[in-house]
Amino acid sequence: MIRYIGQRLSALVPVMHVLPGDPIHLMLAGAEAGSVTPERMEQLRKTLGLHQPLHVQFARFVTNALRGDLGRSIRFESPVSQLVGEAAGYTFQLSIAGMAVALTLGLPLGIIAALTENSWIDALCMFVALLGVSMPLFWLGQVLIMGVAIRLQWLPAISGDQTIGIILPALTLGFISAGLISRLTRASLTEVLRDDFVRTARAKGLGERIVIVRHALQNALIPVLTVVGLQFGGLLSGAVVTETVFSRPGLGTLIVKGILWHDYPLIQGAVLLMAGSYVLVNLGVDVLYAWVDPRIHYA
Amino acid sequence: MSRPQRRLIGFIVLGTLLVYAVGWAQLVAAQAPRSGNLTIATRGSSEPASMDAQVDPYAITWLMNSWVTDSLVTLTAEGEYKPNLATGWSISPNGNIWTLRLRKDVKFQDGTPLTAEAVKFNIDRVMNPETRSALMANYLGVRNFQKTEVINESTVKVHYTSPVPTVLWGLSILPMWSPAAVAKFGRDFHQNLVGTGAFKMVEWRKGSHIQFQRVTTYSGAPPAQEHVGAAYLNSVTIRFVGEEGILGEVLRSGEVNMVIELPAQVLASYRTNPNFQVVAGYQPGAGLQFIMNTERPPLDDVRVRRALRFAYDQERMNQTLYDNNYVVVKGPVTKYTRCYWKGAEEAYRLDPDRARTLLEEAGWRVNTRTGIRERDGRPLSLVMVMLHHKEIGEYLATQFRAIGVELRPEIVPGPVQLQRAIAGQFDLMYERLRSFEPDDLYSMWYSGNTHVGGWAWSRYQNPTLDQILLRTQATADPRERCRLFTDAQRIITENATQLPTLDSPIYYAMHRSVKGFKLGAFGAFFFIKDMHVQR
Repeated sequence: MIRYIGQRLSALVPVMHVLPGDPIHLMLAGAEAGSVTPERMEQLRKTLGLHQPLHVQFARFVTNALRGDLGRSIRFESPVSQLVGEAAGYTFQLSIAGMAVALTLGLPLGIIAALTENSWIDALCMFVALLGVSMPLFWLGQVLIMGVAIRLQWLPAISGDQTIGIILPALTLGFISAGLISRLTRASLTEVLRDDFVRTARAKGLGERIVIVRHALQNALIPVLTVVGLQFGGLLSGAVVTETVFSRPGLGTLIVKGILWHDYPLIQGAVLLMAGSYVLVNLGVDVLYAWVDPRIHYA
Repeated sequence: MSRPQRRLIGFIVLGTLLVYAVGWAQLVAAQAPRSGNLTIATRGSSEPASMDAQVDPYAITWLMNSWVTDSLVTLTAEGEYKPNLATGWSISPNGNIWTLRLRKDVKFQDGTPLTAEAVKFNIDRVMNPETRSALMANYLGVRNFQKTEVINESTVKVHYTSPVPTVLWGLSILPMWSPAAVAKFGRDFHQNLVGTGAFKMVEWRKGSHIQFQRVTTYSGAPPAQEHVGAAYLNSVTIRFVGEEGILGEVLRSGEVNMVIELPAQVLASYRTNPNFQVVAGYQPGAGLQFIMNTERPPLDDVRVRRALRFAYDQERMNQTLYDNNYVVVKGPVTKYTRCYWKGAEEAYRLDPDRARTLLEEAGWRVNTRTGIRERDGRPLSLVMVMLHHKEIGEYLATQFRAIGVELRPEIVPGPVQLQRAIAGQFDLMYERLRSFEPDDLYSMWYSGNTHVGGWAWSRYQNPTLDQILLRTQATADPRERCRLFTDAQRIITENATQLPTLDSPIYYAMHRSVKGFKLGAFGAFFFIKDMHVQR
């Protein structure tokens, strides 16, 4: 138990500060002999507040963050809130669009598969789902770019910040998530369809559509909702790869740059935002539980 | 008139009409106003952190800055320094004072005039440690810098304690910024550049693109520009592409008109397609070289270092990996660098037997079980830190294996490379500096530059070499400088402190409708003001 607690507590250690490398050294790359003195490095360290103990730096960050000031990026020389704000907009757009694709594809596939259990249609739906689960994100992205953007020239290969440019990355992200959502929907719905209350509903003479939509699906959706919440988090992290493949700005690539350059304020700001969004997504999922299943009440 | 005669006349009339039609079309095209919107794609990793070349040390920043502002001096395509914002310059007899005379009619894009005070502001800003200027301060001679002095409205003097031979090179890439705008935007100035140039930076979406718009009132006539006045292009957009594979294809989709750094693997398909044109920009400076850590075993032994030089062949590497599209480099700098020493080409030729003999002499014996040489129970295993071009590392690993040396290429991101260079945690490390003048040799090989921020990563100590390199920095006479630099290249080559391999030219691919492209004196630079996109 003590070991377990120790392991959990070790997660509190600010890893970035433990990693080898000094942001001051990285900042001074290429400076002339004689112009980099210990005094100058110390002065730079003071200017950036890196000379203070870690807990003081952290307390300062929290105090400033509460005032809406996330500091300035060491590498990009710009306010962190501006950098993170711009990038987060693109990432959330992509995540929401990806989730829309995942639900639009995944839910119908799962429902059709469950309703046609053990038929060739079921097998076909699950084969598509298997493709989604197994295909690497970067591979699917490149195939879509080569086919749809370069050969057919229907959509742009460089997503950038264009509205139309979101289609291909959203399809890529969404297709991967759709695989898991459809498999789970099928499993959950198949199980619910065998429950007594469904048999009762049918015995009462209710139409098949009402039985499935109003009774079975509503109950089957609860575990699916949990996974959708988790998948949304997955989409945020999957966006790093998608952003690179589709040359799209976003939080993922920004964080990677921040980590590489030991840009502490940037990493702190971005992590704060991502952690906040996880909390909000989970809250949203919990609220949806109550809406989908009236038996769930929050005091 | 017979029927064949009528047919002949008909053909003649038709042919004449056709010739007129083609001629007319060409006339119309020639008379059409030159304009267009140029969209350029380049590598995502090339996106600068700062758009201010007074701070950022990368060639792409110099290039984009040259669109937004003019420099005091222009380095022409032919490699000559010519006046631009400065009408001329003179050097004091001892070489310590540079006097720059300025044009009187130039205004920044915010309407403020370019004066001697503004020039002083810019030079002082670079020299100020607070600015954290990397290479630019080096080129402008920060070590010997004393002061900038305003003589009158259009004359400024720069005082040094001893001659700085790279001043003209520095002035040719030093962007002139509006002091008022720098004061107004403060630390955000690099996102809001205000210069004297033909384009204005209007948008920078980080991770996506940077956009420039033509300044219609621009009246400059830089020496490299064929026409006077505003640029032809209405706008220039530079888009950053994350995947190299996509960068190689994106021109075909019509999304962009031009690609910078087209991957060598797709060159052939563009060269054979009449819709595209490909231009190679050859680069001065160090090629794709791997400097050796001479401070720690086993590469502290010159015999081991020389053995490696005898174990591979650059011509075969070029043919095998890049269809001869790269440039063979055999010394510390490429053949496109000023004061290049040709002797490097003959210094080492593929000779595995000689390599094995050298390693035997150094006490490294082959372990017959592993095939790798050992000494005192330690294998001859080298870590090669690289940023890209892993195939070169893998090729070298195969070649070195034949002489009993294990080479382990490791691809790392730039910042990690810097950290490992500072800590000396490598045997071989990729290091490439590129400037038109050969002074990068001083930066990379003068042992005084091993401090944090310096470029002498190999930690090579040689008093004779140090003395020569120091003299290059205090000698203004170009011939004497060249003599010193060739001597330095000879010493570096003889002591085998680096593994030269190849160099990647910068390949520009553009649609045939893009006209007026003119390459600069070094491969990473081109002049944009005469460019246009033909409809």
